[in-house]
Amino acid sequence: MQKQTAAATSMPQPSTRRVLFWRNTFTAWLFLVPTFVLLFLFSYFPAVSALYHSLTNWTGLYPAENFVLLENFEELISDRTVRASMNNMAIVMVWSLFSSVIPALLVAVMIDSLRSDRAQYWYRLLFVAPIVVPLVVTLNVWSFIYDPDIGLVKTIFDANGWELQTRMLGDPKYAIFFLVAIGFPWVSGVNVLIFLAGLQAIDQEIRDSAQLDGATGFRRFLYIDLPLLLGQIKLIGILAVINGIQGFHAQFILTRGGPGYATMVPGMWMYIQGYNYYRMGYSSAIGSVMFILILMLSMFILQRFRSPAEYVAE
Amino acid sequence: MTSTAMLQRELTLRERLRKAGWTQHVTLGVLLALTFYPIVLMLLFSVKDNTQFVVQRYELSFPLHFSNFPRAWGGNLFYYIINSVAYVLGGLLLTMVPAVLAAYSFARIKFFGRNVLFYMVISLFMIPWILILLPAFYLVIDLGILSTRQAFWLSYGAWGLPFAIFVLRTFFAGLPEDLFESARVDGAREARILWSIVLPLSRPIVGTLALLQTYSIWNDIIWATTINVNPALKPIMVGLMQFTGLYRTQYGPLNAGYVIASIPMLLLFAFTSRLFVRGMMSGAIRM
Repeated sequence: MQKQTAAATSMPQPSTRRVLFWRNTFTAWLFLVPTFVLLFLFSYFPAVSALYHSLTNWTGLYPAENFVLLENFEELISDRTVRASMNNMAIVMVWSLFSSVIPALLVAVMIDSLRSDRAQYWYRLLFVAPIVVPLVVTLNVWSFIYDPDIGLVKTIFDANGWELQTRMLGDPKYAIFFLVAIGFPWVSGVNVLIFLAGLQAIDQEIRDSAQLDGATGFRRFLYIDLPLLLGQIKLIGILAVINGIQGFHAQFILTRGGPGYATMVPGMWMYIQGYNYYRMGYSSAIGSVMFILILMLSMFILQRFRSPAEYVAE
Repeated sequence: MTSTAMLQRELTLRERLRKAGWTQHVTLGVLLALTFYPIVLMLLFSVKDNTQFVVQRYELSFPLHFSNFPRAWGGNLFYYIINSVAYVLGGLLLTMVPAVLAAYSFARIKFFGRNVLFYMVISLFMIPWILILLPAFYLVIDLGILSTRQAFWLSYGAWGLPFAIFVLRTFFAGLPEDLFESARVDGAREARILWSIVLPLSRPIVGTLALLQTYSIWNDIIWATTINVNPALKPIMVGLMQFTGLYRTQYGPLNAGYVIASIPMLLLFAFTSRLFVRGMMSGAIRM
């Protein structure tokens, strides 16, 4: 009798199993209601709305709108501001990829190579500490550093008797380069922590056997550490590319895309078109193109750079 | 003979230097100094009056004008900070509670539609924020919540969800099955298992996610500018933009205000840095 009940609880009859499955489904869906209500409102609906309205001349103000089919996209191709902003976006994207990965990786490797745990702890803490400074403050302090009349760069040039040839963020030709250089030396504390976590997860045995084979220092880094860090590099790389394509915080806070269109990026132009000029149809078209671009690049990165751990599984 | 001895001594010296990691310490020290100098500039300027700013801009000049701080405080910074704290708390609640429930379902319950619904959440990683920014703004208008706290809470809550669900699901899925098995045999409901077994185990990862979400809500400026026209509801980032315009030529109070605006996150960091570093280093954040 007792044996029977034990068997019944550990392996339910098909019918009870089905009941259990549907009861679980009910519970799980109940758990998922808050998530999907929020996501529907603020993610799915706006995304579909943007893709749909990219085919219309919606102003945003009135519900009345007409289908213009691909007119927005035709305008986009001939829009000289879009072309300028695409160039800038390419610069920002490449720079963002480089500056998110390389400095943080270098710092992480150096911290990892220290013997003292205390020293490691303090470096970790100090490198991540600047996240307490609000973004608006960081950008405005940098805008002071770049001030062509009283800023730090100007002062350094004056002190050495050099002549400063550019107005930096006000320079129509080079403003975009000064904008991306903000944050020098670009060591992101959060990325350092992510890389460090990866480095410290590497099996010591692998490193030891590599050492026996004569791989030390830089060669060990190149052939052992780097391939095993690919998961982290991929994550940070994709985020950097996505941020490079869609980010426009520095423009929003400091330059508004100016002088002229010197620092314009698609995100800023999309915002100006939709919010200031009430051209939501056109604005949505810009957003849709960015969406497709990000989708393709993310797929490319995910496909192209597979970590060795995944190969083993195949 | 002597030269070999000298060479040997030189080698040991170099060896000793390398053992102590001097190259690393010097490089890291220089990088830290370069990372921190904008912050140092801000602190330095915050205690100068305009004359000192013109004459001795890059050195510590006495007397220190701490009166810049009360003057900056007069620029409504207090109210902006309170608003930001309110948005952070609401946004956190609306991200973490739904995310824990959802991640638990995806990781630990077998149910109809599990994969489809999970991919629906994950697919949001591919949708850039700028695509939905302005349509979401017009949705806020249509819902009649323009310039209200609810608009901030709901949107921040929603936008924190995909990442939180993704990370938490990985974490919950890694918990040993025995924990759940025995509880289920004892007849515990899913809600009970989640509350008394899973949550206590996941405090560090939940805390880390909450901190990441806090920093991102605190730093939001574009969305906050877009959906709010009420000066009384401005968060600190938007307030700082106005503040910067207001004190454009008064570098002392301007930088004093910047210092004040950094204090809330500094306090948070002081109390949570250990948890933050541990959570980030736990290896749950990867692809």
